[in-house]
Amino acid sequence: MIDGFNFAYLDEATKRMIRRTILKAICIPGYQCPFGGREMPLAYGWGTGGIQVTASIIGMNDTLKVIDQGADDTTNAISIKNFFKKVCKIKTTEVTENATIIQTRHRIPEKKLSEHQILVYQVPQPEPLRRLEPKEQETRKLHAYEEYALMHVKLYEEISHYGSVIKTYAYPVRTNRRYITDPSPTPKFDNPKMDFMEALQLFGAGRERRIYAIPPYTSVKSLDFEDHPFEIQTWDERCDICGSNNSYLDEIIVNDKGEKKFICSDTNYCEKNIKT
Amino acid sequence: MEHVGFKNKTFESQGAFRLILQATSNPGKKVKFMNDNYSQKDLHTSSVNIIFTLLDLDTNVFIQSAQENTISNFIKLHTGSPITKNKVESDFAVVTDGDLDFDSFNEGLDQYPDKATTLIIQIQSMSQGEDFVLSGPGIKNSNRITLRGIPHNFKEKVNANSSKFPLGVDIFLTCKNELISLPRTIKIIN
Repeated sequence: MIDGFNFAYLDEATKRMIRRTILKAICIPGYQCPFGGREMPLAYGWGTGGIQVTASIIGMNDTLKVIDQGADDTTNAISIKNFFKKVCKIKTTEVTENATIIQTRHRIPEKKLSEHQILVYQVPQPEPLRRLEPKEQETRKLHAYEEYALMHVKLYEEISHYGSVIKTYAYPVRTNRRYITDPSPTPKFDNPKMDFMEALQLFGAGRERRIYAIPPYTSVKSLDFEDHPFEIQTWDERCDICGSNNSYLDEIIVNDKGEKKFICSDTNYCEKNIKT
Repeated sequence: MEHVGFKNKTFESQGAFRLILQATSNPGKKVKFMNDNYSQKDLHTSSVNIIFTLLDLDTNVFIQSAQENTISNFIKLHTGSPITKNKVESDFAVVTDGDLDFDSFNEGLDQYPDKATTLIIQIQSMSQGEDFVLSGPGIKNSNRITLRGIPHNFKEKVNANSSKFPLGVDIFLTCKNELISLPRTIKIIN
């Protein structure tokens, strides 16, 4: 630990306030709890919300994994991992099952998570209704009175215009049959993993100063219609590196002629697949 | 105790918080605090752990106890929390004896259900007494708990509380060094 910093960077009073918020968030699954978000030593949009949540729960015995779009070795993931190594001296890992806390930016690992793990999401815009209603006073009322017609009309309009719901990421879900919740901009491929997940899911939005949570074993349903059921993405291709045909694939352009390949977005999953 | 709050504030409160977090995300699960040295004559180890971990200048505390003065002084000394006589104003309530009604506390607002009171109810036993079967978010199928020294008509009160969701109080049951958390989402099914 470097001198002049408290363990995990935040001061104890801030951690206490965030801890109280996290507990209330778990008691009201999917409800966005306001909290006194602090300025962090990095810009908004780089995971300040997720970092504050992680900093408030992490201890010496934790092992931290950080992913950015499924990858352990990208800039955001490496920087956040280095930040926690510096301010906590904790162990970090790339192996999903060895981590006790996984901070993520927009993917859920392919490997099923367990009861002993906590998944912390970095959230840019926690309000799923924001694009439909810009005023916070109004969206707050819509949630309070469970007035979700706007969202259903939006999905209906997409189906009538394009034949299907075109939203492929941040696909809205209903948590515990009550609050409509933003799953953060994860691809809709990951939505089914949130339903009755064994791990605790915590969401931190730093700029918007909101924390919300989904306890383990909680119903999380993607919004849909009886005649237009929710579907996840599928690919005709397999991963070019490990050959997987059931993970989320990233499309990459490999040369100037525009030829492309598909590879697993979850790097740890891909690596394990090659070994076995 | 010659110190205020935990002796090692950073690590003990982090450890205690993780136990509280575990209890709250797995309602009905009994978690154990290992730092027995903090227990008081009137406050059990688990109550003191919650008080040290979550209370501070920003939380109003209501106390219901035959030893109200002692507990009030203890909380004021160690956390600096303002003590209130008004249940609706309280963020936390510490209850060591006597019956209580959940709906006389702050159950939150439609638009801000997170403003609700968190009750810390100290009970007599978590291994003997009446059986309850719980169900709700955080519980895989159902969870059975055994309690003694709880408020009268506990089952009816818990279910009336959870039927108001998203409003309602959240409950910590404490006994010696053990804690069971009952968020407002939880129903007693048997």
